[in-house]
Amino acid sequence: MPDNTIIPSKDYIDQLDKNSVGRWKNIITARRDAIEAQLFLFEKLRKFPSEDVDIVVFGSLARQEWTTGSDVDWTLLIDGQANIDHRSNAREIGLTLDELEFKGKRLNPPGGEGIFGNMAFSHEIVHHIGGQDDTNRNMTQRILLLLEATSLRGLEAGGDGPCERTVRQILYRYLKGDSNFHPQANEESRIPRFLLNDIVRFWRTMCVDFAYKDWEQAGRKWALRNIKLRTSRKLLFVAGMLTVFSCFKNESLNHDVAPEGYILKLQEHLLNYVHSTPLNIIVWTLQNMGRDEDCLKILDIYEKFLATMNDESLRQHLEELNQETVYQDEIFLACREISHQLQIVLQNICFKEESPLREFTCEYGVF
Amino acid sequence: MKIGFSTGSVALNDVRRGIDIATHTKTNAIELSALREQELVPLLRLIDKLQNELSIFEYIAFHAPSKREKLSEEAIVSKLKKVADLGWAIIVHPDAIENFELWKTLGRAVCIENMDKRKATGRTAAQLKPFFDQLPEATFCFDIGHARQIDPTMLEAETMLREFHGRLRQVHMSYVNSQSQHERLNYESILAYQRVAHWIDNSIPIILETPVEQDEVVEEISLAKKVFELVHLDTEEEPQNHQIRN
Repeated sequence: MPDNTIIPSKDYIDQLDKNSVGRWKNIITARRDAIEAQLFLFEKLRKFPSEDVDIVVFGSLARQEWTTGSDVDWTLLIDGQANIDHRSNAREIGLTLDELEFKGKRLNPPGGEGIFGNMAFSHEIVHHIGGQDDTNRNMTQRILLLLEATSLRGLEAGGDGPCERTVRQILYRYLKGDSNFHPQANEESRIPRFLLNDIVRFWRTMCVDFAYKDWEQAGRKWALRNIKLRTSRKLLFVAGMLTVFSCFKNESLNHDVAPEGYILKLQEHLLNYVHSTPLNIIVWTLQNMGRDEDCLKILDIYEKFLATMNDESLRQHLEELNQETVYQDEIFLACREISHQLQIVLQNICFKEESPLREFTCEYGVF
Repeated sequence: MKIGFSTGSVALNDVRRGIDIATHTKTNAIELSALREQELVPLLRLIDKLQNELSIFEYIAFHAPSKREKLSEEAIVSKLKKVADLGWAIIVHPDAIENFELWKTLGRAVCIENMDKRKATGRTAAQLKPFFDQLPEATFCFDIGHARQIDPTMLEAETMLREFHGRLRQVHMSYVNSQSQHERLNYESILAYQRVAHWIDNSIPIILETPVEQDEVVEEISLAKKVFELVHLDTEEEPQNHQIRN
């Protein structure tokens, strides 16, 4: 792994796009629209956040991949004293969002599973990692805070509010609780395995939940969910995996300081990835590995995916597809082909061709 | 080790009593507090009268008003010139600084403190940087309790200490609760502070902002020393016990 770290404020795709004259128009537009939507939401909801309470958005809005059909997945994150008003505030936020239109279109509320559109407490997220109390919702919120979350309060107040505090605590917990980083551990290159295991668990949970939702919702929106799982959700997992990979044999993270200082050093390094976006993490990593061609391929594939998601009629078509006839549907098959292309590139990078990433994936990815 | 209290934490606005408590306990450093604007002029007057009492301290700092009420910024800076001339650190909250040119005249006496979560700025290293850029001579008062409140993992504390290490002039220490109130040091805060103690050299004065009674001063100092027990292994001379000496 190169001896450096991603710069979170930098948009690596934008830089590439300038040289390719609008090759990834949908990706660039989705980013611009997402940032605009975040600011719009902050303006409309600015009375709710405080030093202890944050409104955090997730999903495509946080990944900066906003398309016309995107949901507004949000959580009222509380990192402070309990207060009965938090419940009514969460309710009021939901009601406010129900009434809002962005760019002439009413905003889509979060899904019905209750993971979003609700309150969340930092204590549960930080303390319950694994065990009976680490519910699907808790684990999902925790990992998404690392992989795709944006604090609305942070857009104005700076990056040290409740969301950032919670994120830092989560990372600290993963590092502090990892026997790889105990003082007596050897001096060899280390990766945060505890974190990696939870990221892998999250990815597999998304896959299992795909089947669960199919069962519970009798196949409703199956095609759309399937395409998302194979592309955007898969790339989210890849970005999480690459975040951990960034520690693999990274000379700049040499164990040259006291154990506590080493943990803070790693935490700071990982925070840069948390503050970036999944697509930027993938682009940055591949470029730094000298895999420019694979990087362009992934962007081309993702551009096609976002173009489909941004086309209201195509999206609606996918939403309404009947599971029995889905494999005869040309639009679905075209989308499926996009996901197959992605799978081929990922397999090449991670398994087939000799590279540090292959070494990492083989050593830590499965067993 | 230079260690002592802010007069505000042991005697609220009664500076004379604060000095008295410090003199009769094991402290060799003190911070004279004029946190409220109305305390500034009386305290400046008092300094002349207290020269003898203050001469026993190895380190003296002066806390400037945190908020302007009646006085102009120019008037405050001009009054603080007297403190700067004494060579003492003037602890200043970043949000009290508007006209950088004025504060520049105080040179390295200006000692900028990092803030708690209530303040709109000065909470993080990134937010402090513009202040130091504008005041190149300014020094740094690291409030370890504020830093922990902003980020309990202490990463932000470490970032501040790394970024402004060369400017570090003194440390404020207390447990800052979620309501931004200063409390006595506890186990939780000591453990957190130990994580960054290696950044704080033995020569840096520690000013406690913990609200204690006179009979709790010695105990509080020994708690503060626990923060450094793993890094300051060389046994330094104990602060003199003025009560015994006198």
